[in-house]
Amino acid sequence: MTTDLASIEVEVLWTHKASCSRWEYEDACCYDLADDGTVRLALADGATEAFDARRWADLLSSTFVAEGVLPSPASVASWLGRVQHRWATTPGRYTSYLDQARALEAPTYCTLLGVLIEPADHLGRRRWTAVGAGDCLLVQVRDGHRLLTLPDMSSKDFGYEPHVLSSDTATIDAQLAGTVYASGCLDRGDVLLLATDAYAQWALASDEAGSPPWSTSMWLTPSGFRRLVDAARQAAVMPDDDVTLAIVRTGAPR
Amino acid sequence: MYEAPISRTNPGCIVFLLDRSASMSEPFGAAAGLSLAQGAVNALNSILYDLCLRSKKEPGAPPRNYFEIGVLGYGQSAAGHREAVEPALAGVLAGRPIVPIADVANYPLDIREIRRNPDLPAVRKPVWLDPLSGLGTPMCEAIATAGGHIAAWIQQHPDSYPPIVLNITDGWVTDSPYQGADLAEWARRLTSLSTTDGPTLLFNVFLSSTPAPVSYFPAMGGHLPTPGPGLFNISSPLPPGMARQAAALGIPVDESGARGLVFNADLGALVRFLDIGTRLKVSDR
Repeated sequence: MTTDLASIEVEVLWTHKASCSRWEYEDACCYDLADDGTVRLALADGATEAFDARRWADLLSSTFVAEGVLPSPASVASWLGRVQHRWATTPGRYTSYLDQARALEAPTYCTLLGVLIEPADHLGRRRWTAVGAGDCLLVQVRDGHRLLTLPDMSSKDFGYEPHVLSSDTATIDAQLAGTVYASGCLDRGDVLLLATDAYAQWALASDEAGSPPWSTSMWLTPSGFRRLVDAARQAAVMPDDDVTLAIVRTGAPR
Repeated sequence: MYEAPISRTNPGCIVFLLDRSASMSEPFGAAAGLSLAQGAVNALNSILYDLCLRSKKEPGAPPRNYFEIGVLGYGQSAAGHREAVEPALAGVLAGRPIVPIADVANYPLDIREIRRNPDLPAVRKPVWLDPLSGLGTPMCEAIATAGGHIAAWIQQHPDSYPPIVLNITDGWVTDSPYQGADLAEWARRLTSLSTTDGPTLLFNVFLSSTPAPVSYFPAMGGHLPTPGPGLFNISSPLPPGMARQAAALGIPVDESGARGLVFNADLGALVRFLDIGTRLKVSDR
């Protein structure tokens, strides 16, 4: 997927778990490039252990973008409440006794990263704000170097139980309390990388080991991305997970 | 060891050994109107249902094959008044020693209205087993039979989480020695079967028909009344992940020496034992 609008470009690269079919891919990424140059993007990672997690990840990412949610605590709280209500009141699609029981037994959940990038000012700079829940990672890259990371984490901080946004209305306050926010300014030529946990952990580990992957990541093609993921999986430095990388490039011709 | 994640490529194997001897007709302690056999079957039906649910990922799709399940009954045969060790799942699954969880989910014996609490409405739940009790306790043969199926399973799944055998009993073994080996030797043979992630685990739960203090995952067995010391000796050490799971349920566990044994279990202890013994991390990673 590639879209160009004036001086901003969004590309989303993804691949499914090698041990699963492509139809079992449980990440979700949605973005919108508005006519005024505003970019909204949301990336969600449906939990492997949860039931119907792909649909929850789709719903979170698509409504975050479609409703123009601001990455602020108040706006995110209001939006999450609406989405949980919508999930709970969506006409049942669970027909078998196991589906019904599984849906009742436990809420579904995913991690999420949502970004709003404002139109460029007269100098071509763009302000961005973001919200994160869990271990989807946002990295601002300038001149091939990591400038800012959201959440602020290292490769050792990834685990099986990241903070999540779930369909459980009873725990919404705790879910919101675990969200993190950041903002920044994109100069022309800066890049935002948004990645689900497998790529994020690999990239941070590479950086920590003295081999920053950011320049490579900025210009990956779909085939190059798959080669990179395949090689990392074979070398056992990236788990066999769904992998999604969204690249937001500003101001620089390819 | 004991760290391999459960996936469809490397599913987990869980084998339940269910005592169906005559003494299982005794009442289940304080659980009014319930025999040991009925209580054990209720708990087993419940854990099988839970494993089916844990394997459900997408609506409309069958459960993923994260688990392969065996239930072997020993004692009274379902086929008549004779002693046997035999696959205990009934109906379409009858005669199959190890069954993918999707088949377990698809072929319950029945779906019944079940009321666990008189203050709550009955719910419809699948069942796979009905209680049986009679004759002796051929536990050696049960462990030997389980070992045969597990050896074949490991050949097909060499890198899986090691098989888990959960033995539910209330009594004393009546067939030792069996084929020249006693219970301890059969247990040793079973737990010598290994995947690359470790040896097969053998856990035991001893059901009590009279109220008595429950001993969870003891680190020593000498103080237990008979047959506690013998069951302690054949029980595998509790892997750290399960010890943490027990601690999370409020059960104090000595992580360095705890064995997979619950002695004098009441119904609640049996349910907790089965939950801890089957709570494996599922991931298609």
